[in-house]
Amino acid sequence: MSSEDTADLVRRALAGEPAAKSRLVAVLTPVVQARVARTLLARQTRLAGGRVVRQEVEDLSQDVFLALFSRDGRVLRDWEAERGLSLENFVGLVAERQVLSFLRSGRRNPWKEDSAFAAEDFEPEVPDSDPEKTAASREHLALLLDRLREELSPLGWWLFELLFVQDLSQAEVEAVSGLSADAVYAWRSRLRRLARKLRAEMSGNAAPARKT
Amino acid sequence: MNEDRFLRELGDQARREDEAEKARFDERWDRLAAGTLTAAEDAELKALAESSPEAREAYEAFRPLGADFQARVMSAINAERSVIPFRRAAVRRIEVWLGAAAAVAAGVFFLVRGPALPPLPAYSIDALSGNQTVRGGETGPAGGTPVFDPDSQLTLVARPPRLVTTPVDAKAFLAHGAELFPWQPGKPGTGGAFRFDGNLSGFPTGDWKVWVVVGRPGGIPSASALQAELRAGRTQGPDWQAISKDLRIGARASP
Repeated sequence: MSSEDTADLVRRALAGEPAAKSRLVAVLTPVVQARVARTLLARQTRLAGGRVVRQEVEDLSQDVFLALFSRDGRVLRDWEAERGLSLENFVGLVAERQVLSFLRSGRRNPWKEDSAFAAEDFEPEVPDSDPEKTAASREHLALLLDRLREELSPLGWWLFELLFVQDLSQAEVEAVSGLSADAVYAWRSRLRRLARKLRAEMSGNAAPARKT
Repeated sequence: MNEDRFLRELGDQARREDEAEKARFDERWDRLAAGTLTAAEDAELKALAESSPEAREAYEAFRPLGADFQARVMSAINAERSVIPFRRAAVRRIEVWLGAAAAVAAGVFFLVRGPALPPLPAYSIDALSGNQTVRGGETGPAGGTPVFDPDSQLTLVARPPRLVTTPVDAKAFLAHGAELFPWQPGKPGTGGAFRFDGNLSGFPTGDWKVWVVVGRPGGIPSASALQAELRAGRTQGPDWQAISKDLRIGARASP
């Protein structure tokens, strides 16, 4: 499906056309399922014992669709084709956030008693010399990365990927995202603010970060 | 460490994770979910699934959710749209009729007969707790089925896999062979969980099954109806689901 067709399908689905909504769900189901499965299987050790992964994938995939369409499709309306983030990638990021929230939050994971992100889990940074300590440090970094993923909106994560994963220049980010120079600078500032909050959270003395 | 360096470290971590994930699940797995694998690729992944429990679990996780799933999603999306205005209307109705006995009856009627609610997620039962005992010839908890004293208290909790905020009710039954008895109503906890506390006195020794039936208010079948459903091999209906755990009531200890 071309990006124009995708944008048209989303527009019609958000306008409430039942057939368009149904078609959109059908198109996105494999995308959502695969992303939920990947995210969950990569963090399976955080899943409470005795849970059936297939069932969790199904339940969480349904949650993702409800998150996209609830409140008059508020989350789905945030997707803008011209931002360079495909609908599949956008929805995939929503799915990742849903899974991470499920794994982390006692509220969404009521049977799990130990939070993977309890303050005591975070220890001061350790030097890289010892392989065991390096692994522990990587584990902390992985947890912090999940927190970042969970806190950022799909657009925010996309900007993080362009700036710090793909390491694109300011001009390249502007070209790929279609954002103005000022908007990209504003995102850099937001990401830095969030990084500060996460580091404070790592030392166990900060309020939870707000969605960015 | 400044924030940019920290963000770059997170970026490096994201790259490492991405590479590890691609090494573990290549794009064939996405096509498994999409149902677009070739026959040869499908055979490869099925063979891989047979190689270990982890691979089997992964195969199951990516196996297409299918049209039934999409129908359930559509139903849940549509129900979500209709539930919110309904709740607002119910609040207004109760405000207007407050103080009149008829309002209560009408409210109950609308709650029971309101628009379709989203399907309940599949509940599960935590481990059973009570006075457990192991005697000669009886299987203890390590063997699987917990054995309880005949007058033991029994406590269990049934939980949803995710928060349930819509109206829900639960009842527990005890079954022995073909017989089924009502046991306890569930005490609602947070997020749709239910706790059941009761004792086993009066129930004969032997192998039992505790059935927890979770459903929409008014939708839980009676003991006889449930018995008929279970005999027919059905553990769920449009408004309810039944889950069970085995237990054994042991012989009374000699004084």
